[in-house]
Amino acid sequence: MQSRRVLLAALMAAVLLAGIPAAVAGPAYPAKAITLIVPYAPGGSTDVLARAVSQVATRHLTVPLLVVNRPGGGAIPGRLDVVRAQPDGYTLLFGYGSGEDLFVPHQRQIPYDVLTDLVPVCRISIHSVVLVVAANHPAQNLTEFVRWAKGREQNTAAVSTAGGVVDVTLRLFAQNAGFKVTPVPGTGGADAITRLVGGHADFGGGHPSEVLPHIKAGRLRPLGVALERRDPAVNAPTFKEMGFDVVTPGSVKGVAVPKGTPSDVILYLAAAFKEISVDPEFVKIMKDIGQPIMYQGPEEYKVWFKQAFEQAGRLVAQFK
Amino acid sequence: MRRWQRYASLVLLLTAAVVVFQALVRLGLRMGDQPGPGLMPLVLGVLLGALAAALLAGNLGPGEAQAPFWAAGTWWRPLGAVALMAGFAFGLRWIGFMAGIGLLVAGWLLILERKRLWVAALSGAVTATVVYALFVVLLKVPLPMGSLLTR
Amino acid sequence: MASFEGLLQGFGIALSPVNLLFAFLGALLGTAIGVLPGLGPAATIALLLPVSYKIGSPVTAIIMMAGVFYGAMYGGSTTSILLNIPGEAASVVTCLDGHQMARKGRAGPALGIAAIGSFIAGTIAVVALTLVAPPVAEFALKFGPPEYFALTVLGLLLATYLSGRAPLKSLIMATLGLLLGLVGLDPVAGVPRFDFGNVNLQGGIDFVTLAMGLFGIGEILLSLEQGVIGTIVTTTIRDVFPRMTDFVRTRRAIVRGSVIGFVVGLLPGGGAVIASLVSYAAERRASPHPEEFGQGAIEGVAGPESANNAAATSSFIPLLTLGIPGNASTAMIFAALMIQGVTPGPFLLREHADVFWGVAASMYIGNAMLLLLNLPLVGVWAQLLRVPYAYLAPIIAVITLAGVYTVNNTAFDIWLMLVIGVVGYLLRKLEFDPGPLLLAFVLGPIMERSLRQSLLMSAGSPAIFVTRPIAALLLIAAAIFVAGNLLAGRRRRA
Repeated sequence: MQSRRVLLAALMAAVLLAGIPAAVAGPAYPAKAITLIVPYAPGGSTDVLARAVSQVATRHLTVPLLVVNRPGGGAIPGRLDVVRAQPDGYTLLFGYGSGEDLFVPHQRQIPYDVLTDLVPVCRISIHSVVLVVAANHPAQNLTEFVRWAKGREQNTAAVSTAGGVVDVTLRLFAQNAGFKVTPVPGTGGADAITRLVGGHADFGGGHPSEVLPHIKAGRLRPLGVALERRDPAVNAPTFKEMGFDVVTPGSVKGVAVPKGTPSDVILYLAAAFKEISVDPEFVKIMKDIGQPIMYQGPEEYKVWFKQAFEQAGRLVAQFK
Repeated sequence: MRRWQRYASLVLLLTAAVVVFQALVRLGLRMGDQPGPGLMPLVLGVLLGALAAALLAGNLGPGEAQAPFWAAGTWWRPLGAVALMAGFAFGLRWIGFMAGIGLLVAGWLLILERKRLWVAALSGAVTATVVYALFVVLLKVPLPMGSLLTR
Repeated sequence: MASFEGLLQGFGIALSPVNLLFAFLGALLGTAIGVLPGLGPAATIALLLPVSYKIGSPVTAIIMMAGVFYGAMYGGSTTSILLNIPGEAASVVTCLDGHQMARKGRAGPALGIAAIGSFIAGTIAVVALTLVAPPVAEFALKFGPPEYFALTVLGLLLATYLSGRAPLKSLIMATLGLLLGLVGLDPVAGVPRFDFGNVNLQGGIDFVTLAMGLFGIGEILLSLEQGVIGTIVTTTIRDVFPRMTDFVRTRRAIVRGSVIGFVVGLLPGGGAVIASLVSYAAERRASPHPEEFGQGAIEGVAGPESANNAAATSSFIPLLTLGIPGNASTAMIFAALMIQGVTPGPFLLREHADVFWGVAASMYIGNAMLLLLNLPLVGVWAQLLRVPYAYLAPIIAVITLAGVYTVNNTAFDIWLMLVIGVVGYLLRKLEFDPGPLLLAFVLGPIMERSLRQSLLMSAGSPAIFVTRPIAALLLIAAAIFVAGNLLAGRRRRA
């Protein structure tokens, strides 16, 4: 009987000891690792950026930033996870401002409100959309490409996801330039570019971090960028200067938390991300992958996001 | 056994019917000029229905001597295991992973395997400690510790 | 002979003490997680990514991650053979004959031939990788959506027929697997399918949840009721080094498996799972005694285990030379390379020759380490698994519960796994084989995506599948396979 009690006590002690590391940490934020949810597959532009951030974060945060990929279902389920997470600042959405946030809500119903159920923390980068063709394509520039495409019954376009920024941009461009387009969506940017390189689409689009390696290797040729001004990382004109009035905000990479997260937590995180955005190592990584750093704090980004959201609505309304 | 095969094919036929209904009514075969979200489910639903019908046809008529479907005397053990694991999933939020694992293993050995209390308790504690070392310390996986133990 | 010089340079890098240590750590960890059901190489490499930042050098980081990846291919077979639970997806077919061998007291030779086959195939694949990387990967690019569709159809038909006993029931399981793969938001329209109003299902069912439920929980429940020690092997593991007759019997299977694995691993999305099934089917066809398959034929272990290892190695070819990851694990390594400032692609060989040749050379060393590690260590794990089933069952339950939880950190996955486990238990009682279901679940999304992409490309015309030579060839192969099996079945009955 005695030994049985001792053993029971030992069991309880072991069980309690296992719980202690979390218990002694105390209430100050951040007390444990923070999870960055990336709603896309690994290897894509958002994932690469998230991992770059988490690599540098060790110098600016006392706790690690864990990158968790939650791909599939058109990148909505990963966002739902964040919407339904505890608003305690330990679960962040990475990639707030992508096509699924700015464009998709205007095109189909999603199970949450992108403007009120998620609260912006900061913006980190904007990835432009580049129109690319395979290197063996006859067209050397955008004008030649449009002339080529106009003479055809069907033009297939490799795009990352249905209703995403690349999809919307290429459809808008085709409409503006007056040729027929059939966007063929897949699992994400890497998949779209693979199909394009393999010659399974007439043209396509992607972000610099996805297309630059292939442009450098001579497999793809950039023809145009859907920005107001040229993208310094890409050797191609804007659609606008070639006479096509198509400008899209690109893929905005921001961070958001669930509604109800305390404002001091948001400010703490925003300050940390601001430090990260000027960290020399981070600056170098971003230069290597050809993406700009465009930091905005919570208030600023909230206002900017609202405008971009409305602009996206106007763009999407154009082809309905 | 044939009787149970017939039940299985009926369940499969019902599944196929639900799939076909969902594909046709809720999902739709076309989306503009593109193949829609219901195309693949429809094909699969029809295929499943046909295969289930074939299974049913092959198992009509009386079968061999009826062997009881559930083994006598032990039928409750899988049920008990499911109940224990369901209890673990239910209690996870409050008592956390480590305590939950300890109790699950101890309860399993005590109830399903009729081990002595001290054996069950020790096994539970050891398992919880090993899982803690492996997942939390070594692999740094954040397993929840439960709201009762951390506050 | 540029590759020879490159390889020499690579060995110079790979043999440095730090890189040797990390190759060893990767191989050791890979074997461990391969043995543990629930934790796959992709999840482990993901967990290692934060560690890789600390390492600093891209060569060292990638050497370790590659070690985890191909090490898992060695470890996965151990669990399949001893427990009849696939340690990871690519060793599903190893269960069929490996476990039967173990039940007949030949666990030692099964484990031994798996490790030796893996070693030979891994080495052949690394040699081929260093020689033919650029030209062969060019061919893999020719696979567009129609070719993928044809490949998944072929792969699936092979999968249903290899489970043997009842093709009708296996086809039903495959169809169910394809349907389960549809659960979640439609990738094009964003419409939820078969979610039954539950938001947790909108993200789809996770592979780990399904596999652990069907194989882990389902198996435990059955053994609890029937008291069959069936899943666990109580015999001691001896004769790990196979007999000469075993070598003679398996030498062709190992070489064939290496070639099949190497080719399939080159295909984007192909990978170790399909490689192992194609190899199993090929062995059954080629065998002079096909009736032994499913009853413990040693070729049925040697072939697939060689194939999955060769595929794991060759999938580095499209990754490193084209910048195109073929599966989840290599996608992780892709991300790691990008962050380390190394862009995978045709330029990698020129600008980061140290990375390419260092990693290639480390694979020669890693495979040798794994062989030395595995033959003796297999005995250690076998000792571990000799714990009486009364204790092992709750431990397996705990590992599956923890493994499933770590995928998405939600309790919902635990509930889902329990439901799937009960279904898996009932399926076993009704003599349905859950293997084809699991494989169809993996191939289903690729199949549907490529079908819809193909129809978009052809403006709705199914002719695209016969006008493209590679797709047509694969579909003709599938048709011949089905026709051959139907004819053989009829002849057997007559």
